[in-house]
Amino acid sequence: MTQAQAVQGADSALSALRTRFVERLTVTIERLDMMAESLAEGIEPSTNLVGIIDELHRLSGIAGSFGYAELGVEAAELEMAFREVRRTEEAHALLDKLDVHVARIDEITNGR
Amino acid sequence: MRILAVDDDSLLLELMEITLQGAGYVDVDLASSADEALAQIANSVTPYECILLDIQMPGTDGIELCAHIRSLHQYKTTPILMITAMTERSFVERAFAAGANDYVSKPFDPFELVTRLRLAGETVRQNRVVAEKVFALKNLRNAVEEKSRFLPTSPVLIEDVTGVVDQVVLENYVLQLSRGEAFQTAAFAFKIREFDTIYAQSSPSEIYLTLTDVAEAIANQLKQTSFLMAYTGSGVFTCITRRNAACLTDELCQFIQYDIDEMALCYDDGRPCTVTLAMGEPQTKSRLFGGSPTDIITNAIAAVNTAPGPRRMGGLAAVVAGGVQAGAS
Repeated sequence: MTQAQAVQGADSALSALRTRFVERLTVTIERLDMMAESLAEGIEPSTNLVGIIDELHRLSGIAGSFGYAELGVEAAELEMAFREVRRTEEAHALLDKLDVHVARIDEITNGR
Repeated sequence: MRILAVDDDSLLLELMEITLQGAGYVDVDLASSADEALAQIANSVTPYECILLDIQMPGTDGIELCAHIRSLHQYKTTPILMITAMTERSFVERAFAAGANDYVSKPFDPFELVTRLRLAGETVRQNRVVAEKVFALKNLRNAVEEKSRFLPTSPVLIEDVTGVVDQVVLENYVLQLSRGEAFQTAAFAFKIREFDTIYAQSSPSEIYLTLTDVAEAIANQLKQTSFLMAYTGSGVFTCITRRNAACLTDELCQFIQYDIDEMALCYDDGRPCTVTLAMGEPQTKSRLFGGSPTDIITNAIAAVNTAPGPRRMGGLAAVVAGGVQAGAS
């Protein structure tokens, strides 16, 4: 395989990976929405809090690699904020910010 | 370079694989959990040469996994790079404490990842060089040990201790003495009790060092007088001095034993090496002697073989021994 072919192969693999990343964002939105709703209603607050942190962590770790650096930084900031939550009311206060973040993810999935 | 990358995010793993392959690292294995990683390590015929670990993973996290891998004999020096998100910086210190060598920030910059891997590759190369040198040194040491092996009965020249000479030199010295000088000369010997046991438990270099330490202890107590000493084999040190030398007291052996005990001799593996010395009666020639001039050496060796060991000193006696040494120096 020539170097040009190798580069072309890597580009195509990256492009496929990027598509999968964007597709996965739909699942991320669904999960975040569901857990945020449960948290707001006081259903299993600790489980949902940990779930939200995990989703944000995963997003913050990879978004930048596919050209969504700002989204990644925002996810990291929100993750940090949720990690510092000690009481349910503090988590509720962050749900609006999470909502804005989810809307931003949604823009990506809709190609905007 | 064989690389194992561990992350619970399959997308990130694939991204890492593509990035690494793009940089020429084609021998990359992926694992999505600590258990999977450990299984791959266990099943790997040749060890991985670099490991990339995500910190936050469900179950066993990357830091615990790092400590576990580091505890494996084959992975004592393998470069381990942690993949850390900005939010995990507080864990980096723990990761280093667990044995990590470096970290790569997530989302990773392909250039940074490859640069850090190149550094890791350099570490691998240096580790190989060091390992080869250690191996060569071990072989060399074994060869030297074998070459320096001597029989327990063999006389050996103890070097770098004042007054200590080769056995042949000691005999030649006695042979060249005039009749009058021979009359003024006394020969006496010290013997390491249970020398054969110490010999059997020691490497050639260990036994040689033990003999050197004992020679130093003897020489230290004789240094106020003119003397010659040789190690004559079987744990025996034979000394020649003047028959009226001030050092020839009943306590001489005790003082030397005290010095030896103070040295706290031990084998290379840390076990104590207990050396107990016996001293034979000094041997002299009468004015009307016959026989060989070297008979006093033979007689000194024979005398030490039937001599009792010294009483070990403690308390006041030890203080006295210290005082004698201080006064003598």
